[in-house]
Parts: sequence; structure tokens; C-alpha cells
Amino acid sequence: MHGWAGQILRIDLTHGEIHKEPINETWATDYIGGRGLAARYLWELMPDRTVDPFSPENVLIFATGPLTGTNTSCGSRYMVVTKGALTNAITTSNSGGFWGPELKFAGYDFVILQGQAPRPQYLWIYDDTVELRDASSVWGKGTFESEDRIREEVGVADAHIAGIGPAGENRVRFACIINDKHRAAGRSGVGAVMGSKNLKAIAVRGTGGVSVANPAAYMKALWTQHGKMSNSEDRKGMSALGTAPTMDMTNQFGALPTRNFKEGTFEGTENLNGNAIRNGESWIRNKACFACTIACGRVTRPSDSAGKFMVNTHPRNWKIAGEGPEYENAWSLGADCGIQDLDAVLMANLLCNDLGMDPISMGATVASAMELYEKGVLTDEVTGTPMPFGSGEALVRMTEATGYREGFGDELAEGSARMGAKFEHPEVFMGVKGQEFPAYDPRGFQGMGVAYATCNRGACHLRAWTPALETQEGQDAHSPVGKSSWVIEQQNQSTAHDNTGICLFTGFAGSVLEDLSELTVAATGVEYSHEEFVKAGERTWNLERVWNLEAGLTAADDDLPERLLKESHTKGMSKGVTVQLDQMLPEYYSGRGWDTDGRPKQEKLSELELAEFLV
Amino acid sequence: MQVDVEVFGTLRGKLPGDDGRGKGTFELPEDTTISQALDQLNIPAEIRYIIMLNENPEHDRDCVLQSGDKLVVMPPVAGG
Repeated sequence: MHGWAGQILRIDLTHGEIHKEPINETWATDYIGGRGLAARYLWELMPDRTVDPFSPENVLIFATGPLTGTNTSCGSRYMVVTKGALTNAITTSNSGGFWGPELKFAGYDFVILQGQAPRPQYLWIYDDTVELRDASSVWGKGTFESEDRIREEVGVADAHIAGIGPAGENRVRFACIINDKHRAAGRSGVGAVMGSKNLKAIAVRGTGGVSVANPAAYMKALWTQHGKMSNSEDRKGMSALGTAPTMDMTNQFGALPTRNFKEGTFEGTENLNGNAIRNGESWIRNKACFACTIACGRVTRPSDSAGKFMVNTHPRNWKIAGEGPEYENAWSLGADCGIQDLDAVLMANLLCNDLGMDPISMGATVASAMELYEKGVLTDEVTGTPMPFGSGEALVRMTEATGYREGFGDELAEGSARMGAKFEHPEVFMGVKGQEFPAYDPRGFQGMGVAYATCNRGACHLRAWTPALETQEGQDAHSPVGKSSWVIEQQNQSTAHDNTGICLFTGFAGSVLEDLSELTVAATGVEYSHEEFVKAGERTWNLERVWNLEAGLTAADDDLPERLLKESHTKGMSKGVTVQLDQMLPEYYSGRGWDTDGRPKQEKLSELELAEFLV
Repeated sequence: MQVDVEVFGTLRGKLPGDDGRGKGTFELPEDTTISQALDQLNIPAEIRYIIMLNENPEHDRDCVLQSGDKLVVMPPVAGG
């Protein structure tokens, strides 16, 4: 095989067994790789999809794509696929950095983890050598220290490591997997699933490469992709300022969720946007993942004044350089909590990376708690510290407490859906399928409403991102008309994109999806037409949907909070607007070829060769 | 006529006399269009900006500005 390594690792953690298997070539051809192929394996290996995410029967897959580890621009990505601890749905959590390519260089497309180790372990992969090792030296440690210690123990300085911090070990519902210290498979609690398996990390070093089927065609397609991206003004913008400039746009459109989605505009954006990060004293430089020609990453270090947030329970070295913040973190730890102190955002972001937590869910959960605090539902006696909106102190203290499940942090660690329900105010949860929304208020961009409601892994902005279309000439961002068909198309396309192992940002930096389908054909030797390539994305989307239906989710889970459906902002460009999901959702189901209960019809399943998957 | 202008992202620092804050009030000839204003304000015309005029999206670059208008210009962005 080419593109694909052709080999997967299956690890039985319960019995400590390591199996090397050839990849299923039929499935690889049908799903291309990454997210889609992992969903197919997850379907096969989890016949009971109703099991608890923390049960040994949950399967955890680290999945690369055929272009991961090639010199395709942004060829860095791997996907973690499992049943999410936060959502009880299939989850597909993506990360960049350098870990995914290293796994391909070692000769493997996937690592599949089943069962539960009897005591904390980590997996060490060095080309053909694969072994489970005792993790007692690093269990309980943050991800930064753990990576350094594991490299020392295995004696390979350029090993790349993906693992969990205390949050994953403590099964914080939105714990993430961190690789290369500052990159994350962030959402849906994949780190908690890893922690439930007593698996601390996967360390990998590979000395091979990735072969391509047709080098001449591959290099021609590569030259095209690189040329488009090099000349792209959008790419230049991301290189210069990262993604945080998006905050200015959403603020202008009244789509910047503020104080737990009460409003859509925030007064503190000048302290948190791309210019503030780039020009402030915390700035060091930008950073790229493997093979990336964008370098949207930010490297920052908290300023001296951030010492005022020095947490007392677990003193640590906080004056370190880390990656971030991106738009999502600057929003969730900033505007959503009413905070405009960049130091607070940087400290909380560093803690999220070291303890191993999704900063989107972390900030959003703190924001929900802040709302409960201001309502008087939570008091100082319950929380242990004042938690009004705008308090950077509360954010940083609670972020650390959450990672260790200490004090009120134990409540926050369950996520805002469970926390809100426990305190009898479920209306403070701003999300879908148990997962907190990211940084777009659908009252500002209607299309994001149907995108959030229908995403298979819960509220997510990556599967369909409508602002670019909604801000175009002739479009009305407040109208629900036509938005469902955009969302369907984008979901299919982004899924096809994810299957290759390439970062989604190539599409925001001048390259088009046809570039990727050409590169995939040249790399794998499989003669996909572009339509077949996108169809693999649609096939993946429908398989994920069927998986969720089998797990017990229904159309009732394709919903939005009452706040978005019935309440509106009092100021800003989206004042007075509510989300018209009742118009968009039926169109979405119909456009997908699903019935009115959101179940794929047999005709659609047959078209996608999934007929036997849903009866 | 006087027009308030605010720019964001990589456009900051490019306006005449811009100290990096990307804001200013500019004296422009009567009947200046948005397109002409961009040119006079050192903003490269070929980029597909998101433009707001008086807090509403404006796509017509031939739109004629009025005295007291507020013009906002943002480069295209991507979330993440």
C-alpha cells in the first residue's frame, strides 16, 4: 500500500497483549482513513454502543490518514475516535503537532486500544518495537513534566508523545489528550476515556517514511497546493495573527457569545484579539505543526503580572512558554466569562494544557457557574471563592481545581450540562448533546444553529462553519433560508478532508478540496474521482449518525437551548434575533435523505453502501 | 466630509497616521465611494474584506459615503 502504512496496532490493555495487523484495505478504500476509517473500526469493535464511555468495552482509536506524514501542506493530523465521556456519542477529536506523522514513520496507521490496564501504563513504539511500560513515575504529573520524563525513560530525545494529565486520570468529563505539550485532541472527553483505561501516554519514534504511489503526480499536485497557499492573503493573515482576529468579526456581527450567551458583543475584545496577543508583552513568536506552511500557532508566556493568579494548592512554574491562545480559547476563557484580562486567559490556557483539559468546555463551564453565582444559586460557601463574571482569579483557581477534582472543581469537572442539572438550573448549559458550544452565537449566524444541532459529536464549529458564506454579498446572516443545504455540503466536505489527515485550515488558506482529492489519488494510487472522495465523507457522516442512533441518541438530541430559540440579545447587530431551528432542521433531515425522526432512509444507506448498518 | 474609519487585524497600522490602533476620522472628498476610500486609506483593494457601514454589512463598493458615516473594514478570518 501507499499513503497508508498498511499496518495497525491493536492493544489489549486488560491482558497486556500487543497485536500487529494489516489494515483492512476494503474499509481503507471506502473511508480513505482518519476519522472515517476509525468510525468503521469502532462500529466493528463495539457491537454494544450503549456501554458507558468509562467501561473497558469502550474502544479508543488514534487514527492517521493516508496523507499524514507526507509533505502535503499541513500534513500533521491524527484523530482520536471513541465514545465521548462528555457526550455519550461517537466523538472524533483532531490534533496537529508532530505525533501523527511520527506514528506513520514508525509504520502504523492506527493504534487501537481495548480493555483496561490493571495499573497505570504507557505504550512505547519505536518502529517494530512496541511495549507497554509501567507509568507509576508519571501518573499524577502534568503533561509537560510527563513528556520530559517519558523521553528520559525511553532514552530517545526525539520521541513524540500523546498523553493525559491529572484531568484525564481523574476522569474530568472534558479531559483531553495533549501531544507535543501544547497540541490537543481537545473535545468530548477523549482524555477521560484514556484515563479510564489507565493509559497515561503513547510515546512514538519512527525512522521510516511514507511512500506515495505516483511520485510525479504527487509532486505536481503538491506544487499546486503550495503555490495557492503561498500566495493567499488569508494564509498571510493567519501566519501574522493566528485565528484570534475572528473575535473582531464575530463582535461586529453580534455573534461573539458573551457572559454565557446572554449577549453577542463584548466590551473587552481589544484586550484579547489577534492584535492584543501579537503586540502584548506575552508574545514570543508564531509556530507551525509538521509540514505546515501557515504557522497559525501562537507561542506566548504569561507576563510578570500574571503572578497575581499564582495558584496556591499546587505551586508550579507558570512562567513558561506555551502555545495559544487561539480564537476559541481567547473567547471561552475571556468573553464567555466576561473576562478581558489576557493574563488570566494565558494562565488558564497553560493550566488546561498541562492538566489536560479542553479549554472550550472549561471556560464555558466556568461561565455557567458564574451565571449561577450571580443568580445566587451558588454561594461562596459552595464554591469556596467568589465567582462573578469578569473574575480572572475565579477562572484560574477553578481551572486548577477542576483538573484535580478538588472542592467545587469536582462539580465543574462534570461539565456544565451535568452541573447545571445538579443545581436544578439546566438552562445555564449552552451546548448540544452534553458538549458546550464553541465561539459563535447562532443568533448572529443562523447557519451555525443547524450546524451545532446536527453535529454528530455534539456542538462543534469544525464540521460546518458558515460565517464566510453568511457574510457574503446577497446573504442575510439572520435568515434561516438555505442554510441547511450549506451545512450538509460543508459537513460532507470537511469529513472527506478530515479523512486524509490534513489540517482543515488549508481550506482557509487558499487551497481547495480538489487539491486534496488529487493528492490522495497520487499518494494512495486509488483512482477516486472528486465525487467519490466527497462521498467517502458523506458515508462517514452517515455511519457516525447510525452509530449514535444505536448508542441511544434520537432526533430529540438535535436541539438547541431555549436561550437561543426564545431569548435574544439586547444590543448589537443581532439584537432581537432568535434561532429558527424549527425551519432549518426539517430541511436538514430531508436534504440528508433522512426521515422526520432523523434516521437515514434505506435508500440513502444503500446509496452509501451502508444498507446493513441500520435496520 | 468626515468619515470615521476602523480597521482590524492585519490592516492595523496601515491607515494614514495609524499608531497601531486602526482608528481615525478622515477628511474625504464629497461623493467618495467605499472603493475610493479604501484607495485613499492605503487599504489594498484586491482583498475581499468584510465591510460594515454604520453597523451593517455593505457589499457594494460603489456605495457613496456620507458625512458622519462609520466604515469598518476587516480582513477575512477563519475560526479555530
